[in-house]
Amino acid sequence: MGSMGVFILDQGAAQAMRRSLHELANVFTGLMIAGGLLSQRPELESLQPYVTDLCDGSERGSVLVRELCSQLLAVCGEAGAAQPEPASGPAQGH
Amino acid sequence: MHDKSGHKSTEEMVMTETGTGSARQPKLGYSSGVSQGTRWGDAGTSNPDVAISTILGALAMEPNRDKAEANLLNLLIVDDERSIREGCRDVAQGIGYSTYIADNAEHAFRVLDTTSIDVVLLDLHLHGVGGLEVLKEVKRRRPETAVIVMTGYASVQSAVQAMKQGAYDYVTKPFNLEELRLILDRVLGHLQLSSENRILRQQVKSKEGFGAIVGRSPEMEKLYRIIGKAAHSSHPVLILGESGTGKELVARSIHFSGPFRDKPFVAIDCGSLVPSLIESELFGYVKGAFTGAAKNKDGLLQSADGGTIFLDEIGELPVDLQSKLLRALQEKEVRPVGGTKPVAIDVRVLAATNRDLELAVDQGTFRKDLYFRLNVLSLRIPALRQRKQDIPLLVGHFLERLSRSTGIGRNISDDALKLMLSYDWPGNIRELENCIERACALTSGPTIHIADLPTTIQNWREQSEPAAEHLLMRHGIMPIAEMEKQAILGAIEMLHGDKLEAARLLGIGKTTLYRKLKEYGALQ
Repeated sequence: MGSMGVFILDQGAAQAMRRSLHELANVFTGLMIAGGLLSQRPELESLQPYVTDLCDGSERGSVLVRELCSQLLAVCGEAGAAQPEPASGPAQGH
Repeated sequence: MHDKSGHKSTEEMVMTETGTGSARQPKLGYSSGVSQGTRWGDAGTSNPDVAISTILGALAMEPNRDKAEANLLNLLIVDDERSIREGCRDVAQGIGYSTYIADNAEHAFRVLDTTSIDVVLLDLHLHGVGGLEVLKEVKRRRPETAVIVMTGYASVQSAVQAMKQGAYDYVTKPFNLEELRLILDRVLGHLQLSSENRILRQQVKSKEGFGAIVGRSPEMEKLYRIIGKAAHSSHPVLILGESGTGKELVARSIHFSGPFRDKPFVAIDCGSLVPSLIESELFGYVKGAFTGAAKNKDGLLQSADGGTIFLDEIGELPVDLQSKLLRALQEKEVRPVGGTKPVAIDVRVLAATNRDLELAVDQGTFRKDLYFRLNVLSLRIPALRQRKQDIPLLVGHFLERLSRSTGIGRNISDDALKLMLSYDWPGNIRELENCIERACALTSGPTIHIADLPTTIQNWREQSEPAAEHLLMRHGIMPIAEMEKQAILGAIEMLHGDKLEAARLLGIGKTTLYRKLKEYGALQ
């Protein structure tokens, strides 16, 4: 896009991207809930660093999915597209 | 059937599980009558459109009504993604929902048709039928059900559409544990509030009585006022009444009308507990306390912690346990059998008996100090023979309830009702209920006649009929109508025929006075 040229996204491709993003959103939702539940199990104290990684990673992935969704909506020119949260997650690392 | 990951597919997994605060814990409950406090529900009335699994359902006079015992809100999770279904299920169970899951619309409809679902968590992007169509169908089948839609970020507009179609709220995928909890908590609060409002409205409007207690006689109105006051105090209440008058129902009404209604209500029948097991049942035991005590077990008093314990037939409690119970109530702690450390408890005590406890105290079979401890507030439920004007209402109530369960509507003949009104009902409401059930079972037609009533009642007719006309007068009791007649005629006579003055002094209108005189044939 921009100086790199203009991409035309036809309706079929946009639909396919939406489906993929929906699947990704499902995957990250499952991961975040599972991670959240795991983090509340005191008997898994020794595994907490891994659980934290799991939670953080899935949160970052979720932010990315939201960004992609937002960009897709913008590209498709859909009115009323919700604004994504600032993408601080992926850039930070830990 | 198993999917690639080795998990059972939801074709086999549509199921119910009861949340108890921890996702994998077993359901809490005692067969002896523990019902975990509910958060909301109907007032136990006969209102058929109440879908919420009930709270004050405990007000229900019929303890067997399953919804009244269910206590939890039913949540149906509809999503074709296994990890989301199961994750949401575990989170919801942790909050206290009773959960059902479905992986497609068809499954969801099947669950909706067979279960009273209070909340649906619905994926808007289901394979096959679209989520909006499913939402529409859910609202059609169960308009009172709150639906939360789960939507993708790229389909906010569908969420808006869903809200327009009656969804309660929406959550955007991907969402995390906290977001899910927040929304489930919110709907829970919403349902609780609306349910409480409905219960209050039902209580105010109830034509039959208080919650599920049926009766509109002055004696019962007085009882309702006392129940209302007792419900909002934390003092012990002693409920007195003959067998079959509904003492447990009153106890439940007190608990479920008061501020502790979302806490446990534990009913213990002191008369039916095995003497050798009473102590361990009430106070619990520790591992190794006796043969077979393989692990620690909480007693019923601990199970009621924070809520209400109802000690039915308290007069039957052995004297040695009376002192232990008294100590537990005074010290607010119990000592499990075999244990050395006391365990703190915080329970409100309701007790009931059909015995004369004062006499039992005099005879030394009931401890005076325990009697005083329990008798801070006391209320007496009138026997059915003392409120015979409620009989038609009760008969109608039982007939309606039977008609709902059997699908066959029945009524009662005037003669049969008249006979029932003359009968003394020594077994009180329980006997009346059994009488109606039996009559419905025996009769083949739509109307219950005298011949369908139990022989005890039919024979009562023969005993009572010859004496009926003079019975009241013979005992020096005058019918109210006769008293009224004598008062009116006497007043006119004393006032030398001044009817207007008589009406004024009697506190009735002159039109009423003239109408009465006409009825008596005394109008000149």
